[in-house]
Amino acid sequence: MSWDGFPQRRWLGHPPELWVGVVAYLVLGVAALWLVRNGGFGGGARFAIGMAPTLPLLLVARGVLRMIRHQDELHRRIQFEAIAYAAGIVMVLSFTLGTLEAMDLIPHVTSNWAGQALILAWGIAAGILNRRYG
Amino acid sequence: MNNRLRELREAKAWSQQELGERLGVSRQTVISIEKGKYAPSLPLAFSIARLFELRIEDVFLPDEK
Repeated sequence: MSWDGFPQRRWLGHPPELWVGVVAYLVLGVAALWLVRNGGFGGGARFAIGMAPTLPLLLVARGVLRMIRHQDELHRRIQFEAIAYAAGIVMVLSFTLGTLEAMDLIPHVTSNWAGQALILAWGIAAGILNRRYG
Repeated sequence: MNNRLRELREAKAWSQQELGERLGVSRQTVISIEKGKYAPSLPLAFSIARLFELRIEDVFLPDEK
């Protein structure tokens, strides 16, 4: 065990399941996309294949939670503040785009951007907060 | 909040890493507390005071108003 009780078996400072989940998501995502488009499957099977990449994302979420749970109080505070900033930014963006879309002022925007924006804003905020407390 | 953590640590000839390991926190947390950038929780403040065999108010000093 290391200083914070976190298992020594870490990859780039993160629990292994986080990276396994990311890689599995990418592989399953590409495979599912190809199968849905070219596999010739029917309704239910197509839906199940389309949902398959979601499973490794649960592994990623577990890894993130396990990482935060085993951090010390300063790092948990940094993560909490960073997530709060990220959630706030994404919420404002999402409501703004939703409102503009409802008014037909902009074309329909896919919701895919929200998860990516959340991760990006979280990472940037965590970096800034790490420097502030460093 | 001001504190005497750096002075107390240096008196014991401990590195920031060593103090962090004794307290169960990271080196960054020790650095941040020493610089006064982060005020520790009450349990951690008690752990620090206990480690140096002092009272909590002998380690942490309230800001002058």
